[in-house]
Amino acid sequence: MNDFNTQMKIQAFLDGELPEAEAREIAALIARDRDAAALHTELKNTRRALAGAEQGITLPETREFYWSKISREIEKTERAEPVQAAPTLWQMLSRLLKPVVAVAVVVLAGFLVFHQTGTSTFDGGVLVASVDEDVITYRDEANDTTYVLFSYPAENAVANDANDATLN
Amino acid sequence: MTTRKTFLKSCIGVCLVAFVLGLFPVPASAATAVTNKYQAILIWGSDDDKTPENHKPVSPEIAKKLKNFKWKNYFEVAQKDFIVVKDGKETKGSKDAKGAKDQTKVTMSKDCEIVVKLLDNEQVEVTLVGKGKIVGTIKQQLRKGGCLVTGGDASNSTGWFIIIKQVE
Repeated sequence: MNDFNTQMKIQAFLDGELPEAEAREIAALIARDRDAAALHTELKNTRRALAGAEQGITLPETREFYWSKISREIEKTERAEPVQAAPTLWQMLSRLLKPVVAVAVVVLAGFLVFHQTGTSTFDGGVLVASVDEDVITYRDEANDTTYVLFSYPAENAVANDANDATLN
Repeated sequence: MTTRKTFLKSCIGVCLVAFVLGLFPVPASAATAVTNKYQAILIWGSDDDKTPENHKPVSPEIAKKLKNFKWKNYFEVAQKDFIVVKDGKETKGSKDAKGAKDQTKVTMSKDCEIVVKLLDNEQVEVTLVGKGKIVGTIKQQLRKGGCLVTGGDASNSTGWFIIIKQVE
């Protein structure tokens, strides 16, 4: 009876946890052995005494909800932004320079567009179109004058009637 | 994110300011009509001291422009003032100047006509017509105060010239 294993089986028998065959063996043991019967009686009394003394404590919230609150608090702490340091001189200069750079880019783009489409496309030279190669051109920049001279025979040129002595 | 928004706002603001200040060219289609006033002079160059029709000698200013040519004297056969309107309605015209879209046809003498057409970038296209036939076409930038001298040999060792200058 001093066998620890037998004592545990008596405890299990009391709790109704033994298989049927084993439970019959332990029941027979308790019937014939005084020590076993005494242990069984003691355990039964102890159990009865503890059953009345237990307090029914229940949590106000579920276990999952309780842990989720802790998890949220941890995440909140991790996400908290670090305290911003005072801006450095470069950061202040950068803030000022950004609009200036933007202005420069826009002005530059404006001038480029203007020069692409504006008067600067003229190279100052003479473009003679729809005339043959017998044309002499000359540009006098000082007097802003362009000369275009045709070497056609006079009869083919302007306003010179062969019958007339003048251009009229 | 806030910095990007600020930068975009700065760019938009700068673009508006640049547009207001006229840094961007206005498209030609949106521009108002351009009206240029020109003067055309038909000139006869000769070594003779006078013409059968007693044409008056050209002004010293014109003579200066023709000093490099071979003739001894230059006579003013005809002088016509006309306007050319670009991107506007057709000009009303006159006895010697008939307006069309962006161009004006000017009769310098019974056999001599010129057609002056306004192009973009202060360029003009001058078409010389002699006895109903196109003698040549010249494309040339012509600004206020600028001058285009065109001409050639005529019969009897004489020469013809047409001087076109923008008056306004």
